[in-house]
Amino acid sequence: MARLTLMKLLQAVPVILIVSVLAFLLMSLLPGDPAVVIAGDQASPEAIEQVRRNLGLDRPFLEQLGIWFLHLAQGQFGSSLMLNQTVLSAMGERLPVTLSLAGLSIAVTLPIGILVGSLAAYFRQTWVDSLIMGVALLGVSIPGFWIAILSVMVFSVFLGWLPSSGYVPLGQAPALWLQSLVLPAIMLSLFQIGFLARMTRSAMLDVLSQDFIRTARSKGLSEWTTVGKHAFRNALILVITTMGILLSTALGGSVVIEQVFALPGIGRLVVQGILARDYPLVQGVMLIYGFVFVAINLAVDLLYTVADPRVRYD
Amino acid sequence: MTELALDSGQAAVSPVLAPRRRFMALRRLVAHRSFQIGLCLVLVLAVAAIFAPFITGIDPSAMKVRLRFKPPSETFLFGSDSFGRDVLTRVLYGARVSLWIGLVVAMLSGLCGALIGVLAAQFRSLDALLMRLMDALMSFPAILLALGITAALGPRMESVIIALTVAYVPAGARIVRASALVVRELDYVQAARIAGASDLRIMLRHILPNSVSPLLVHMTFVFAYSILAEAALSFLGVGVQPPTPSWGNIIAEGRDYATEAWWVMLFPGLGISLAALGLNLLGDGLRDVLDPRLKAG
Amino acid sequence: MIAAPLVSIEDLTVQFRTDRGWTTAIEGVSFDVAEGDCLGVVGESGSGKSVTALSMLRLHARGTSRFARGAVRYAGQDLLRAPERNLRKIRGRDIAMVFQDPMSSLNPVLSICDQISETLCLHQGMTRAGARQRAIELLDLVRIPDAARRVDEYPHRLSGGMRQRVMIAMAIACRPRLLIADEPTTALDVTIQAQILELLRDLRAELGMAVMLISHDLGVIAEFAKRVIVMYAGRIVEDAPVDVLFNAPRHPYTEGLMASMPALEGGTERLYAIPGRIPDPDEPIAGCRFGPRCAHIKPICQAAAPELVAIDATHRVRCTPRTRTSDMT
Repeated sequence: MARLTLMKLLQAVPVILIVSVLAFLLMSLLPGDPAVVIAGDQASPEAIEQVRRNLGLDRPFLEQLGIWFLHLAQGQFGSSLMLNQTVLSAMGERLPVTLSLAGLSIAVTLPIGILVGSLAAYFRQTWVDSLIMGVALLGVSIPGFWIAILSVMVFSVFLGWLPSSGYVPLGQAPALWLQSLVLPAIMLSLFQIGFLARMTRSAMLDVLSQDFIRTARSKGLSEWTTVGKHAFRNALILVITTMGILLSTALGGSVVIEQVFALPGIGRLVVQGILARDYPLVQGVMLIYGFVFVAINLAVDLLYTVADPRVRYD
Repeated sequence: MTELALDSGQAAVSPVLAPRRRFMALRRLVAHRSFQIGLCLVLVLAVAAIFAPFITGIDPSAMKVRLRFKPPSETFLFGSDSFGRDVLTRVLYGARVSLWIGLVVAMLSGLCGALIGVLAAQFRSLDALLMRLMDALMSFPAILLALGITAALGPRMESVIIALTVAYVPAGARIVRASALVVRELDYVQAARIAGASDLRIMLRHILPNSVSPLLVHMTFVFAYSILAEAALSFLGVGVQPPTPSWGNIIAEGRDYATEAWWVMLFPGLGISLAALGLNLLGDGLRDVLDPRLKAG
Repeated sequence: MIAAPLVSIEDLTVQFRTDRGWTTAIEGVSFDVAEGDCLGVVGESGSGKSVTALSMLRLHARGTSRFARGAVRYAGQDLLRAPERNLRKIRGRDIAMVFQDPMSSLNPVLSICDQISETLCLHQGMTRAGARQRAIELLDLVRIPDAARRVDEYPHRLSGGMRQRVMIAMAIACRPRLLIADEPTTALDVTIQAQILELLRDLRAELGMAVMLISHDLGVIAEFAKRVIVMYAGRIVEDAPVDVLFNAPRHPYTEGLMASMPALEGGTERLYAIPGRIPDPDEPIAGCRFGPRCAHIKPICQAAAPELVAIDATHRVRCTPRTRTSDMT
């Protein structure tokens, strides 16, 4: 078991390296002279030179790459041009917001998605199945940002029940914090729930058609035990592999949702950075997200080995 | 953007069906309810997009400032926007952009994914490198990756296409690789190898055709998610730029005066939803028929 | 005074839903299983043996199957019509089943202890600790070496033969009165087959339970059973004690089966095979369903479907020419 963990860790190393290089290459994608692009159209030649020197763009390519890795090793992920802060600190300030949003959304998604997907599988080809799958289908087809805007119009503008924008920190006023996040979190989870429900149904159907389910029934076990214990433990394996992807969609979706609800989170930061051509910021955020996800995928992988005895010792 | 990676995990391999069975599969496909509805939706939208210039005969950028913010009526079936432009026409032209981008991304990412997947399965030395590269790409949330690339390349339709293709290639590569790894161990492929067929020939004639069905299903879903992703990118302002209409940027414009002219925002959103719905149904139908092991119903 | 049978299957007719409507899988299946019986059910794939077995515990999928006629009587109840909760008390406790493929029939993510303990805790109200102890005893009983260690393992770590023993242990845990074994040796090597059969024989003697062994392998049946039922195209065609069946079969199909077994002594002649193939369940055949393949077919065979007739106390045959007094030789 420890050996397997070590192997997975080792496999993650080249991925981290490649992620770092990819993030670095972001700047190289800029058409023309990056310094000019960043400094802007109206910048004077001196200003452009200043930007070039600050960002080390005057050095040869390989040297830039080397400095990049050096900084990484020192824990420096770059500085934001527009905010005059390090990327890390800028992200740190906004982390609670994004974390709250994504966290709430996942907390809602998991139980509902799994339950509903399992129900659809158990009652396959009945109205329960059709209804659930119909709604799930809508969930993965309707654009999140659009339904979010519509919901703001309904719940904030017309009904006045919930705020249309803004974030209240948890420490300040828990009730208001929740209120500011209810609508965004629900909007974010619509796609996720639909997705998870579909995946769960598919997994459960596969499991329910297996021979060992028939064996369980032949032993006189109740339907509840047969499905809830025997079937579910197997379907869970597939659901675990979905976890990493759910987190990925949640963080990706939060970019748009934060924009719609004007929540000061990391997603909003990235968009602001892009619009302000603050490429070092964008680079830094992408890099950190990349690292985070390598870690998440590793964790999911390991969790998978815990859940499925078949992959354990080999 | 993500249903794909999971489809890849479950993908079964169906050997290339003999002609008669292929015919039977086609018949089942056509009779499949989801597939029928999906195909209808997609075809209607495609026709609307292709014949956009002829449907209303109005120029999408023609401004009639006197007629701004008119609700849906006889003259403006979907109403008019803040510049007095016909929303219906703009939505139709937006369909062209959004559907085209989705199609190209699906095709390109499928092609590249297939190439990478087959290469990785065939040449073990390349496998580790390619798959770590794919893992690295998949470590970024798709939207974020697309954002970064589009931002760097400059907000344009071409950037969106490149960015989304890069975002979806890894999932496709994984699917094809998984299939190819199974197929290459099948008896008739072994036989071909023993008979002395070259690697290239084996890859092209045997492995690729048989790994293709899960990829086809995947590509249909990629089409759907590309439409959603492009809409999000254009909405954020980093995708297709106005005045070129894309469903996403029409919604962004319409948002500013949502209370006054809700119709500007409504119709493009419906368009996106219907397109994604149709494609998802199509994908479901394809999957049920091509991969019976995954059969959902 | 003949004792009442343990389980009595009467006129069992099961249909499955296909694209073309309801097709009949088995029809008019009637037989009794006595206490301590050693019954073998033999037939080719598609003859309906497994369908019969699964029907006895009503294990078919509900939406796609139905019991057109018939009854399965046990302990005064008709298992086909009894409420589900009654059935659950019988399954695993009074009547248990062992399935063909032990790898797919065992849950891969639950330990062996867990899967055996389930029945013990459910039907006998044991505690987890008590059930675990009993599970180890059961593994010993089915001759799995090093049972105390093996009990915590997962199915994929065991060989095919051992998995089948685990399945048997699971099935006999509550000392059922009838054990139905559906092709228990088919997925195993020949040497392991012999061991499993011997195990089943010994368990039957030790626990005094009836065993119904289903197989397409005549050798297995000959080795194990005391009484044999032969099925063809969803119907019972012959029912006789084993030595009668093998030495003096009545039904042309059974004769064909016997003739197609390769003899150990004997020359290098070609193996005999019954000409033709098994009919599709919904293929319309007038009269006897074996008719088209029968070398001794007579006009009466096509005129009316033959009945299962007792030609003596222990021998039933479904063949009109062979059961008419005037034709019996």
